[in-house]
Amino acid sequence: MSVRILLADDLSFMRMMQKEMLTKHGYEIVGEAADGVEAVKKYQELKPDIIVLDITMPYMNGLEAMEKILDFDSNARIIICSALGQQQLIIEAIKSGVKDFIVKPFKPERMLSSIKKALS
Amino acid sequence: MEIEEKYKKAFLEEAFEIIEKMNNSLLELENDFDNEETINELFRYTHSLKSEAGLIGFNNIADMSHKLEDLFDLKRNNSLELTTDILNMIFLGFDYISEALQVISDSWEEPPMNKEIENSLKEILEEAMPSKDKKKKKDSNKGETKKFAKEKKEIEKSKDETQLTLSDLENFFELNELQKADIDSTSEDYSLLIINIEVMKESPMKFPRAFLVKTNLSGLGEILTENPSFDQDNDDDDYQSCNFLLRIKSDYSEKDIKDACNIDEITDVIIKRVQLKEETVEEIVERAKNLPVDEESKKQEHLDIKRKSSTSKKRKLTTVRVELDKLESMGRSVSELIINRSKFTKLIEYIKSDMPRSEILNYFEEAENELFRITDEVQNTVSQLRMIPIGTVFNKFPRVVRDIAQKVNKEIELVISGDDTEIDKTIIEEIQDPITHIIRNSVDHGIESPDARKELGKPIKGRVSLIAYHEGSSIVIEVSDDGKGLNLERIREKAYEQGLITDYEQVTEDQLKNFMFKPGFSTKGEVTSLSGRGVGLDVVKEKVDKLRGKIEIQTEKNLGTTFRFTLPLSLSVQKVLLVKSADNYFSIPIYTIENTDRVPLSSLEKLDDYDIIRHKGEIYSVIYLSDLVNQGKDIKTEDGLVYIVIVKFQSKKVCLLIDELKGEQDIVLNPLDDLFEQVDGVSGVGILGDASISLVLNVSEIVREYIEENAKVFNLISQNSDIKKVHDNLISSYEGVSKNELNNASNKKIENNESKQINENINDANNIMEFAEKIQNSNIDKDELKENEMIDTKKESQDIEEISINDLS
Repeated sequence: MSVRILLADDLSFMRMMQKEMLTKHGYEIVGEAADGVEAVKKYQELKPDIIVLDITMPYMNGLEAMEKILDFDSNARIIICSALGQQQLIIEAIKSGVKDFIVKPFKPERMLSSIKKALS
Repeated sequence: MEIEEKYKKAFLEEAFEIIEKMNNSLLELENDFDNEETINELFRYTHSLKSEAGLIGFNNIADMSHKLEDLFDLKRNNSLELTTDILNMIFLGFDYISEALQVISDSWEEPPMNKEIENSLKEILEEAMPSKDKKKKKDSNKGETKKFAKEKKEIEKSKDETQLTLSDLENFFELNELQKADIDSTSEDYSLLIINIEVMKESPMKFPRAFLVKTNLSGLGEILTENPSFDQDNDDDDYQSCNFLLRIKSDYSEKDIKDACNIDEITDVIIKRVQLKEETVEEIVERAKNLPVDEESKKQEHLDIKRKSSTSKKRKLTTVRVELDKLESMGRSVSELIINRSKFTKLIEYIKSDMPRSEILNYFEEAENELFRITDEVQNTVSQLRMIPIGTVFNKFPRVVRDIAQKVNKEIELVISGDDTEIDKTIIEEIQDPITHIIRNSVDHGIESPDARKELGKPIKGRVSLIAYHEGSSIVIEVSDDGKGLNLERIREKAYEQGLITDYEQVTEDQLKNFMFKPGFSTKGEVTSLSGRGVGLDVVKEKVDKLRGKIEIQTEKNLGTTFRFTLPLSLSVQKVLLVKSADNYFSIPIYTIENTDRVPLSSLEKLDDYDIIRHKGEIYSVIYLSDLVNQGKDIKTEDGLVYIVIVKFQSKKVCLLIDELKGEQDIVLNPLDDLFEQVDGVSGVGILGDASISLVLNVSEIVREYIEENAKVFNLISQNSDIKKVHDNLISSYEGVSKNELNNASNKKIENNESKQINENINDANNIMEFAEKIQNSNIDKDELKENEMIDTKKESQDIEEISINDLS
């Protein structure tokens, strides 16, 4: 069975690129969320193997969403997606138990490799 | 990374949306410099734009966005005091991005950076940089600041390439001393491990990487020391190094520890039981020397991106975002279709079997009804897919209004309502410029200067409102201002000066207003001129006409002016009149049709070399539809009668000659392939029920081109307005007989054997004037006419099908 991934990013463009790339590599994108609230909701609904969570999102940012998701599933495999300059936020995320993070702009192999490693 | 056209499209679409939101938020910020929420929004938008643009390789946009992001970040942290000047500079930055996006959408090339704006922003940033950062900048002596990530990166790069050995070696020797101290104090404890974590050189955030490893390791044992220190107050500046050293006390195996370090972008983990310190150092140094240099491959990648982008075709944005609900509803319809399809398969079986005909028929009817319902649904949904809220256009107007108002020193408030009103995407794209034009007009000319308003007792702040709402199958967009209103007297004067009216007094208000839409009308007067735009209201009118809409003006002196656009909701499904000519089907959009009729072939005349026809008191130029598809002037007639369709574009009308009328239909307009794009006068194809194809006529183009090519005939017709007068006079001399009846009668008369003489004369006549005279001079009297009329009414039902559009079905 292929790995089920939930993508959360407020930019549909980002999601589209990620989705395309991951699908090409045999992953199944089970859902997409455009904000933190949706991400949490969809995580609970879909229970994906991995959620890729953007930090900068409206309504509820990636970190808050991450906390909520971890409350729900302490073993959640969360990969935080951030941009340069959000170092402090990433540190926070790591402290809270994020599995990995990727920094935008990133190359596809970064995402693939962190997903692979998060699964191992 | 693979950069494909569709990514760029997606990027552009999203980026245009973001920049629009940015502009609106900035306008909000202008009212309240310290609105935290707005600042956060702006930060988020610029941040997103930076990421996106950077990802796709539009570095100038990314850089500009980055500067702006930094600026908002400073403001967020209360390190920056916003001023109007700074705000204007931010607006300029936004403008650069907007323009760059526009250029990219037209050409797929990113325009060069606007250095002026960039430098000004840089200055603002440097000025506002928190003192701590400034100090750090001095101390670190690297000539860089945390805030300029790009510069920092460059320095990082150069350091990697040139100074690597020196500085890093020093670094490592320091570590060596630290290790030494560690080892001295721990002696023979085998649970003590020294772990060197090497982070990928390109990793954008090395410290959090290492921190992640550390966090993972902390689950396996006690971390004793770390170097560099993982003090979280440190920032990335202190972590240029790719190597992090941890001393950890753990009973886990080396393999477990390695697994815990198995994280992306960690290129190597060296785990050593504390003993072999010299070797460790040697190894580390060796590794530092052999750091892979990946710059070449990076450059290559850049080249690839460039090449790809330059070969991409120049294409306009043609994507549309679709609500999931709509797609789902379509999916449902499609599944129903599939079920329906199976019913037809079954039908074939039934027909083959000896099932009674009536039963088969029942079944067939049922399946057919279902098919109709489903296709209707699909059609509805598809047209729904093209609908987007008009707010996407409205959102850019606050900025437009602000800019002009500032330029002309007026205070203006823009009120928008109905921005969630949905309209076809194609129409939205087309209507944007006309609305912008009218809004500019309102701000520039409609609203009075603050002084003038004060004098009139009006509020100093002018008001422009933008309203959209649905009305039947149309959308109405109103642009109103509370300014001085149109100066109708002035329009009257202008119209008189330009010879548009001959009688100064006898012009209605509506006529006067319509003059404003005439090309070249009043270029100097303030009535319709527009500040430096070079386009007039005639262009607006033409666009609206093209969209099958209309524009009206309401104006009241000193109370203001309203421009009211009425536009169709969608362009994809058209009501057309299906006709046949030279064995081809043509669809003529109903809205362009003035009239259809069936007339004797002999009513066609020649004016010089041009074909004309006289119909109901008007003279029209004649276009053989067959001629349009290069089939020559071909017309089929069995009984001497031919069908005519009179079409109009603006005030110009021409008469199309066709073979057959097939009736009114709804067709889905399919654009022509590139191959056929050169066919003039055809806007697309419609597929008919029997799968044959009809060409959908672009009437405005046909009329316009005909006029251009045959300007002479139009001149002749208009010059010979005497003909019309003659004709009208002729008609008016018969009291009690309506123009039309008379016209039919006179046509009949010509046909009539009794008036053979006239008929011959007409054929001989080279000049329509003569012809008119001849009719006038012919001794048709009232009684004769009435007699004719009676014959006509009889005949009417047999020969003459006067077809009004509504009768067709």
